[in-house]
Amino acid sequence: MRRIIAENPNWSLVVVPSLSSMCLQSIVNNFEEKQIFEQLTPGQRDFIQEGLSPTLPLRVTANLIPDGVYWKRCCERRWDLCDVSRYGHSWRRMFFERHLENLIELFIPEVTEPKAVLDVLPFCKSYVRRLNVSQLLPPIKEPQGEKDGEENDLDLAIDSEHDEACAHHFDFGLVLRELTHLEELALVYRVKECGMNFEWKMFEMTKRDCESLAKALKSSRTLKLFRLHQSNVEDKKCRLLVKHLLDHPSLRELDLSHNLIGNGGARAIGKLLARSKLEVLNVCDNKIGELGAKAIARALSRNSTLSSLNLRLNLVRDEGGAAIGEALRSNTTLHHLNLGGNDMTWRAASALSDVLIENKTLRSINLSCNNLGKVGGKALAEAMSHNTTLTELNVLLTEVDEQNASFVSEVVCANQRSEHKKQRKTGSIKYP
Amino acid sequence: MEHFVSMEMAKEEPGKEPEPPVLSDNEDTNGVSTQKDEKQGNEKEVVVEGRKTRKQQEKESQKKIMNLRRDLTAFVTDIQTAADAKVVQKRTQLGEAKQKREELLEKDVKSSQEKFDEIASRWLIVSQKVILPDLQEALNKQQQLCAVLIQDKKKLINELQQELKLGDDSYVKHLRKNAEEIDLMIERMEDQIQILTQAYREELAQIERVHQQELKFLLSEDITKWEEDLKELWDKELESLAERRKKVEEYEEKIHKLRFKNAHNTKVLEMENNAKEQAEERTNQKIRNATVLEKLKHQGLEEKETQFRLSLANLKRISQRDENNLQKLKNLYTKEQKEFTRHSRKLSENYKRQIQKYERLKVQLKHFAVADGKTFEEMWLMTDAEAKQLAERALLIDSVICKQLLGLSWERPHLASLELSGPSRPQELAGNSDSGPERQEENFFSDTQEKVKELLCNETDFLVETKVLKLLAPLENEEQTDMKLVTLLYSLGLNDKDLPELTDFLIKYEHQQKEQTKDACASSDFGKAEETRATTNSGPELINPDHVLPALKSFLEHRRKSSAQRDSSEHEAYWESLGNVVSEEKLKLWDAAERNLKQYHAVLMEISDLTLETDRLKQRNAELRMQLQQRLSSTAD
Repeated sequence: MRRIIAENPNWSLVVVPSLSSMCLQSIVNNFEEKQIFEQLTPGQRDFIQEGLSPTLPLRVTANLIPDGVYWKRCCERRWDLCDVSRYGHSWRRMFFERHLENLIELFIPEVTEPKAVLDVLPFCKSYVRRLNVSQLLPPIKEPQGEKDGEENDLDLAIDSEHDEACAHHFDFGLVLRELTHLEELALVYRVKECGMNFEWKMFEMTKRDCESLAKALKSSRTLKLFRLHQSNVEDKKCRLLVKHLLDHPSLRELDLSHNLIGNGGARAIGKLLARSKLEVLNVCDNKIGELGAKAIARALSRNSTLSSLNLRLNLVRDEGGAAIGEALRSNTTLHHLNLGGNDMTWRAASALSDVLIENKTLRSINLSCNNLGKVGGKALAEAMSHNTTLTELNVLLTEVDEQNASFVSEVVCANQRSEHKKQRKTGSIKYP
Repeated sequence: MEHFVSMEMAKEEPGKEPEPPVLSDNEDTNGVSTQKDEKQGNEKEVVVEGRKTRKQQEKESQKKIMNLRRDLTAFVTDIQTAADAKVVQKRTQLGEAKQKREELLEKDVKSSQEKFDEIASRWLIVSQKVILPDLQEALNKQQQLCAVLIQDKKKLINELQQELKLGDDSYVKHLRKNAEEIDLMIERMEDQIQILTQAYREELAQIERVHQQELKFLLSEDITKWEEDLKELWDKELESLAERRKKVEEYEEKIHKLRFKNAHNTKVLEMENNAKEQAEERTNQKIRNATVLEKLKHQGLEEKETQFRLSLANLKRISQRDENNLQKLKNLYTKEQKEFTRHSRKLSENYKRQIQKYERLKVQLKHFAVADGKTFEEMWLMTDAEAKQLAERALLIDSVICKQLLGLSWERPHLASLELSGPSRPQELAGNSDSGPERQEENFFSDTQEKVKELLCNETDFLVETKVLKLLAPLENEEQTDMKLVTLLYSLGLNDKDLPELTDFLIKYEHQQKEQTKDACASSDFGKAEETRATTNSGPELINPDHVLPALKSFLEHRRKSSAQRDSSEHEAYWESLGNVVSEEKLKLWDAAERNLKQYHAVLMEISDLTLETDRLKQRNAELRMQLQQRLSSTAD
């Protein structure tokens, strides 16, 4: 003893770990073979969570280790940015959601075994609430594909058909059926950082993809939000999707913005509005024309659940705007309406302003980037003088004269104030 | 060609448009949400802190914040709408370009169709030509025409490609611009967020300050008010308490009175009731009695009489029994009385017997005293004679010793004391004999003695202790005197036996005194003398009470003297002279003589012993001779 101290000045008894901590350490080391966790005291559990290796197989840890330090370590090891507040402050949920997203995003059809994803599902299913897939890789078809691309110049039609036949993406049917707690699903059919390998078909979904996705959506009973961005969804695919989403028990929000939906797709969406409990519909930046708008307006006049409708950057025009205005006469649920950038003129404005006098439920309307002109501005100003509920009316870049614009904004301010007062009086302060 | 255009369009539309609005949307909502959060906090605090506080401040701040929010959000949404407008513009531009392109293409198609038709029509001409050079020419022309057509097409293609390139460039530029705009927007939003948060903080601080001031003010006001109220309350309470106390006392008094009154009333009522009841009872009784009487009358008087008789007999029997009892008691009483008298008689007899016994004992004592005197005399004489004889003998022996042994002349010593003893003895005997006849007299004068005793007691009260006197006060006269006498005698150191002596002495003393006074004034008053004599005749015991004390004193002195007379110094001298008949010298002489005689005696004894031994030896010798002779004779036989 004395010799040891003499030789090693840093030697002290404290360095020698206690037996209990050694036991815990051995438990940590052999955790994969034998899991001893439930019967430990909270302090010892903390120690084990601190010490466990993040590389342990998920089948061991998924259901055994509670949410906390261990999962935080796992997350921080894999990703630099970890904003746990977006995941309901649950590190485990974050880990599994992002893990699954990674697996799906790196899934290469016909190369990666579907088992790789399916194996994880049993552990994930009780924790995954939201899937935000930011890319879906197409199958690899190296030399042939390139050749096809070269030959494409000659025979486009045949090639594209051929491509469509084989360029299928990941099949969500397998996944969505298993995830029993999934509430949000956001997909983008695209390839990130493709660089010089750019091909148009990397940024669109095939027909089969669409079919499988539609079936998968139908099979998921808990989905509340579905978002499909920038995936070149045209009328056909839209119809296909909508067909399977009809009468969905839980879907409340649908976001198909930045696609290529035209009148046909809009008609289908109108049908969906009539046969679902959608509350939020976002189809901004599509190609919905007058007919599609009319179809949606028709659905709107009967629908009693939708509270927000976004038709920004479409081609609704005057007729569509008037139709929607007409529909709002009989609608009592819609709070927010966005008709920005729809090539409307004073006619639509006057039709809408007629509605504004009667309707008491609308809270905000966006009419920006329309050529409303002075007449439209006057009509709106007149309508606003009778309205007391609207708290937001955007008439920027609509060529409305300043007088009317300022009047409108004044009225809106007054409405906002009165709204505040009302909230104050009722005592319950809610913020939409 | 169309494919390219569509491609371009597609490229432009999704690439250029989507990103800015989406991002701006997100950012905007984010910013708003944070703002809203803060606002919520603010509002909450406002609500929590106090509803009564100055609403003006709140309103102002709210207004400010709302304006700020609107302006700032407008600042951001402006960009978004601007971007939207640009997109719309671009769309229209693209549409126009498309239309132009389409027209151009149509024209091109038409012209090329015409040319193609021309070429095609030429083919017929070419086919009709048989001559080779013509054919060659025609073919060349055709080729030329085709080349022109192809050139035209190529030109068009180049144009379109250039356009595409331009489009690409502009798209890239647009993208960059968008990115810049997004950055700008983000920056703005961040700034705005900062501004807003600062504004919120400021407003919050202001509101808080105002609220705190108001709170303080209200608190102090409330406290003062509270204290005042409390004081008032206390005062009121105290007053009411005092009043209540007074009231309680009053009520207590009242209650007392009422209680007494009530009790009195109830008692009166009870008594009245009782009286009534009793009256009723009485009347009832009377009625009953009357009825009973009537009944009895109805039943018949004979029964009543018999009853009366029976009761009379009973009473008689009872009285008889009482009489008997009385008789019995009387008998018992008489018996008891008798027994008691008998007992007392017995006791008196016993007492008398005891007295007799005592008297007897006294007589015996006297007798024994006389006898003792006689025996003493005899003893005296005897011992005297003996002593004298012994003295004579001693003298004789002395004379013998002197004359015979020492050869000295002996003189008879003086013996005066021998005759002294004679007269002392008859004197004592005479004293004793004197007292005898006086005692005999005593019995005759017991009455006088009693009276003397009484007198003595009365006169010498002071000698007796006061305590004893007190104790004796309730007793009868006789007993009192007895007790007093006993104590008196005890205190004087006398015995009961001395009492008669004392009385005698007192009487004698009185006589002496009287005689003296008579002698002194015999002739002075004859009547007086006669009176005194009469008194002496009637009771010689009547001593002048003034003389009792000196008489007692003289008696005591006399007693002391007489006791002193009995000293036997003469006797002692007498007996000593008898003891000293032989003087000391003589004794010494006698001792020496004795010693000599003893020596002589011892010598004589030795001589006698020796003679005895010689005698024995002689005798033995004779015996031995005899034995020898016998032996000799025997041996001879």
